[in-house]
Amino acid sequence: VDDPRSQILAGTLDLLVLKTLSAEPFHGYGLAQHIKRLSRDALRVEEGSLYPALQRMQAKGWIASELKKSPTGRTARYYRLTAAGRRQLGEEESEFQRAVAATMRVLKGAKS
Amino acid sequence: VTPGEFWRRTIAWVRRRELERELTSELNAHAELLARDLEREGFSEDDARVEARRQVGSPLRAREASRDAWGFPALDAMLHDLRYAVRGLRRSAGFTATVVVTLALGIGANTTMFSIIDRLMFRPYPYMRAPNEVRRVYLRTTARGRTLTYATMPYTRYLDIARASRSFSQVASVSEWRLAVGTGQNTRVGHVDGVSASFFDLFDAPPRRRGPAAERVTRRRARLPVLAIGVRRTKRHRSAAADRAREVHRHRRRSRRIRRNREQRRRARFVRPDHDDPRERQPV
Repeated sequence: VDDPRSQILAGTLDLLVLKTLSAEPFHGYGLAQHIKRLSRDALRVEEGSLYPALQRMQAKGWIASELKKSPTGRTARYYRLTAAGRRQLGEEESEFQRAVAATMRVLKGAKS
Repeated sequence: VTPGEFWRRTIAWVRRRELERELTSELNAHAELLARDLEREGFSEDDARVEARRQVGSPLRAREASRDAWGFPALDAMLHDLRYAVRGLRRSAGFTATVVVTLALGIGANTTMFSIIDRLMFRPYPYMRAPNEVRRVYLRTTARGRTLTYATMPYTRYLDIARASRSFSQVASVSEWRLAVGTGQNTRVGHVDGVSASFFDLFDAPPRRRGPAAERVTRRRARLPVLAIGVRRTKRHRSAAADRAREVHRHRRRSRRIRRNREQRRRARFVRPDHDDPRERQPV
């Protein structure tokens, strides 16, 4: 059952995907499961959003893909980070941290 | 859009059918893996498959969302609108024909007018050395509050300008008349342009007498454009010349005939016919 609270924050899908792929190449399912696992089931990437986002990031040149055999013997498309994607990841991380810091300042200000 | 992205989008647009198939296959594999994990969590096989399919969602929707990355959405939208418009136009052929003809006539008329205006008003004279530096000078007078601008000026005014003006590096004059051209019976009224000698310094082409053969030779030898000068020969002029030639021919033939007859008569006087000499007639 989908929990609305498990949906990822708007605008952070690219950041999560790039950060996940910075560790190692993943296929689509592995990517979604990795994010779910690392977030301890707090975040769930919707497949309907994940695959179009992967296509878009490929067009931007941030990630590249190739068909490879998975450990289970299936042929799957594996996505990996490119140099441009690594630069983009740095920018997205900085932007996200700025946004979180600003949000935290507002929350702290509202409490006091 | 960077050049790299443009290239990748172009490649994706070319391969979009193949990419659609790959994406469908990828989503199916995703659903199978998810169903397998759900089964491990305790779902029955059927329930796991249904739940996995529900979570993955419609492949069609994912393909639609991915199309934005496969090519150029604006171009796709334009092509879509174009196809829709063409289908609509094919349904009403009469209306389409009317619109096409109206547009063709409108565009054609505008193009023609623009071409004429462009040639007459916007383009510089051919072979002119510095058309942006050449100016035409008009004289303007104001009398009793009324200003008049003259397109022409007396030759003496031109001489005054040529002599006294310091604003121009060079001055030339052009005039045109309808004058009697030719001598005697060959005189005809023709269009005559008169220019000052300095006029030719404004152009990159030397003056030559008019004549197609001479012009061709000059062009071939000097590899230079040539300004043809001379009397403009109109159709009427050429027709009159032909009439005169025919008249001369007739006159010469008549003259020859008259001379021949006269010669025959002269010879006849010196020949004495025996049977018709009155002095030799015998009385009856």
